Amino acid sequence: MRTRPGRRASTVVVTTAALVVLLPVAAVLVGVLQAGTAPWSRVAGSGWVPLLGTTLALLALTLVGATVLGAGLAWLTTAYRFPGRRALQWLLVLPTAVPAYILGLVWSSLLSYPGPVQTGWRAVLGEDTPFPPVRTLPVAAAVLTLTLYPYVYLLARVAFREQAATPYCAARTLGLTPLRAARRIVLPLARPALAAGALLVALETLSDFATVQYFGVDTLSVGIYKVWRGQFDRPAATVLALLVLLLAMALLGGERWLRRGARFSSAGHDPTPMGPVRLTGRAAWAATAACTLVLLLAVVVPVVTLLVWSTTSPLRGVDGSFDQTFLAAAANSMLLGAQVAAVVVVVALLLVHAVRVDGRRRIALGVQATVSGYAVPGPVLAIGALLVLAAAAELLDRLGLPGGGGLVTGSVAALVVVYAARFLALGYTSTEARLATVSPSLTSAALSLGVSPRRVLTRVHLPLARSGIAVAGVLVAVDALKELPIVLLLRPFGFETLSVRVWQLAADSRYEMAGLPALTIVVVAMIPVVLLFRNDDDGAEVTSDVDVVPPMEPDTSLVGVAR
Amino acid sequence: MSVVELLGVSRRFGRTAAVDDVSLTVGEGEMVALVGPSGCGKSTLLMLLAGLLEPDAGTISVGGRVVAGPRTWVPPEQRHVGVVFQDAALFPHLRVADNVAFGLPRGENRARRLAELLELVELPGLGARFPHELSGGQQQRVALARALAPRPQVVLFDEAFGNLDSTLRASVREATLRALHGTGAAGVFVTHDQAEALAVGDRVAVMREGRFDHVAEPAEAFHAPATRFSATLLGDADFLPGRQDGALVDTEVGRLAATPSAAGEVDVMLRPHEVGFAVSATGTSRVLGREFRGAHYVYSLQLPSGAVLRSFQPHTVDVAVGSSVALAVDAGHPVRTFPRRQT
Repeated sequence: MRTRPGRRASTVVVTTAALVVLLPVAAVLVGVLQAGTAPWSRVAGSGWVPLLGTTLALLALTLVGATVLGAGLAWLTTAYRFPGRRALQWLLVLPTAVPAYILGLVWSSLLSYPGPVQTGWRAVLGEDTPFPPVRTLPVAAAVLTLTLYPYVYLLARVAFREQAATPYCAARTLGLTPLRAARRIVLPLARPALAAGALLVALETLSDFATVQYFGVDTLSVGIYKVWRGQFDRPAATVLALLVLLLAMALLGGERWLRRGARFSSAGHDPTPMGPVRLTGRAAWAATAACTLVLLLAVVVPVVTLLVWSTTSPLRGVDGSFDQTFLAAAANSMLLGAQVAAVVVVVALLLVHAVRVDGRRRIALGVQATVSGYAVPGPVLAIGALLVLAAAAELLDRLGLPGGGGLVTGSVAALVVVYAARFLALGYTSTEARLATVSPSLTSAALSLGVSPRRVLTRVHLPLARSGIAVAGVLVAVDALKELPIVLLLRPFGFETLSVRVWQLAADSRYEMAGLPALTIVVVAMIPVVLLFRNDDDGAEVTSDVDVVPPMEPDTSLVGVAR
Repeated sequence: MSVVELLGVSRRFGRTAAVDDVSLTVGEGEMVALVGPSGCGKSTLLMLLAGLLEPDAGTISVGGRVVAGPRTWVPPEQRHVGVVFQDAALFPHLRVADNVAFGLPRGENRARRLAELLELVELPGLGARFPHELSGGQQQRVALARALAPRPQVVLFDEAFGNLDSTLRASVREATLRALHGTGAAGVFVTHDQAEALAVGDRVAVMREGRFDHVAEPAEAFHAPATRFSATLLGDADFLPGRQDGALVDTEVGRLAATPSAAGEVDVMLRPHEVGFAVSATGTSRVLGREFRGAHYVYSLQLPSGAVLRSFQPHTVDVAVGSSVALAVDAGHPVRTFPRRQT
């Protein structure tokens, strides 16, 4: 009984938010239609078909890698007991704190010709033994896999623990070995969760154009960046953005198809947790070693490397003077993160409130559309926003008003808005998950007592959602700190954040200089992971978080938990 | 003057009509109990009254003012309708006093009104507690005090005591009704428990598939239900074939006064407390089985025709299964007959 009659204020809020999120997407579509066929041929000239092929190959490899690794580790830590399991099961979420462009930077440096790995190789095997090529698509896919698999890992763990526990036990009593029961019962039951996790992996892979460039892999998103920043060819970039958008929609459709009709859940009763089987002897140590190896590659080695780099070039610029640019970039990152978090938290609360006081279907749909911003790849959102800004500048010019020029070259305000659109889903899910634990009759009671909706917001919804809002703020701020593609495309001239700084230093192969900014990002990004998952003994917290998310968006629920 | 008036109110959810062309009037200080199986639309009706749902058709008036109708819509916060929810819905972050004062208009002497309200629900001195420090019954009474604070003309109870265990329920209900009557406000009380409906209502409205099956005073609803559905919903009922002629009906257990007046084949409704029996060697009926219910036994008695009637007997009446008995029906009022169902 959550249907409530309409209210004008909620209509205004939801419509505005939806417009801000959807306008860039619409701008891309309109841009492509306006441009006609010319840019297609220009793009074709530089070869969009190979770009698409590379993108698909990268997607395929990363998807398979992240799904196998994520589901495999989830199964290992759920179904078996081995030395270190309790710590490992939450530590395995940590790789999410090392953004792909940092992990890629570390490994491309370590694996480069002068790097320690190749030096050691030559020392042991002789000067002339060729080292396998590093700047390749499979290596890029491996790096992406190592940082993105936690999406699958988290959702798979929940699915294994909750949905598959009882059927799994039944299958075992019917004579199936653990492995056969896993293949025949657990995997099919976890399919929707795996699909949702894989979708997030795919969307992140699609958005990335920094990491893959270290490895010389030219995807569509790389194409967008090069065409836009290198040749200032707006129509061509728009066409490429459309291709990325179409791919994202295809992925979304694919995920829906994999989940078709399958809302497997142990309805109505508390699931019996699956008692993990104790591994002994060599098998136990092999399990521990496998988890540790993943952590070594994805977290320990990069963090140690960054530490070494930071200490060998402590806060010193190229000429040996104190590195002011680092401090400036850190300040920019912090301010940007804080602003984005503030905007997201306020809008998210307003949206949650609107759904609660106004139960019309169109409000729910509007909020869904707004929250769907997470599915629009960063580069597409950025290009769309630039098109909108350009149109606005043109309009200002025509009206004879000043300020148009500043809009086109990008502004921090525009950056904040686009970031907010991108991360709104994250903030919304956290806030809504908190309020979902509060019975809807509370809202009804408040309204029936003769109190205006605005006072219901300030006196009931805001205080009750406070903890969810805090979590949302932290998660969004950290994500804004890590974000790279959008800021690279949209930043005003000379505006640097920590992530931009890492990227530029990496592009100049000044790896050691990149150490400190990169380390800063990683350490800050670890905070929410530790806070959210360390006490997740058997996932009680993750479980409840995912559970309370409305069934319409299981995929966004993960965004809220995983980052 | 009526406090609440519903006229031809309908509300659909997709294809199902949750409330279908319903009309009802609630008088000043009157308590109407809405009873029906789950999904019959009784809670929807309540939400429509509170303004938490919009009707598709019909007019709703509260205190003589139209609050929902064609081109009229008054949001819940302007309706002066109090609601007490099943889960109490107290604000968990506010103390009892702040919960109760939540809807108090500014300017009123809050402290005095607060004390008055807590007194009314028999919880004086608990203002500083948080909701989680109260028992379930206390929470419900705080919810009532909170709903009464803005002096509503009508208070709606949505399965308000459904979460309380049965021993507590009756006493909380009594306290609630006392408090409500003290204020003179009318009430609409939704429940799926027939005993509760009969106990609290000045009138009982039996609801089925979005429509009213029967609206009447409790005794009439119980003894002369409008339909077989109402008959079985409001209490145990057995049906015995008979042949009616005017105000009399002939059955296997004898000739009985009947209502309504009719002629022909009918089914007679008999409730277990109206059926008595005595052990008798010449009795033509037989004890089929019995169920112990603490204060009494429910005996199942098979008649010569094969029909089965149930009979409530005190726990002192101890008759073995299989005994031969003679039946005696004494309703104390004309029995309700229904036209024979064609099967």
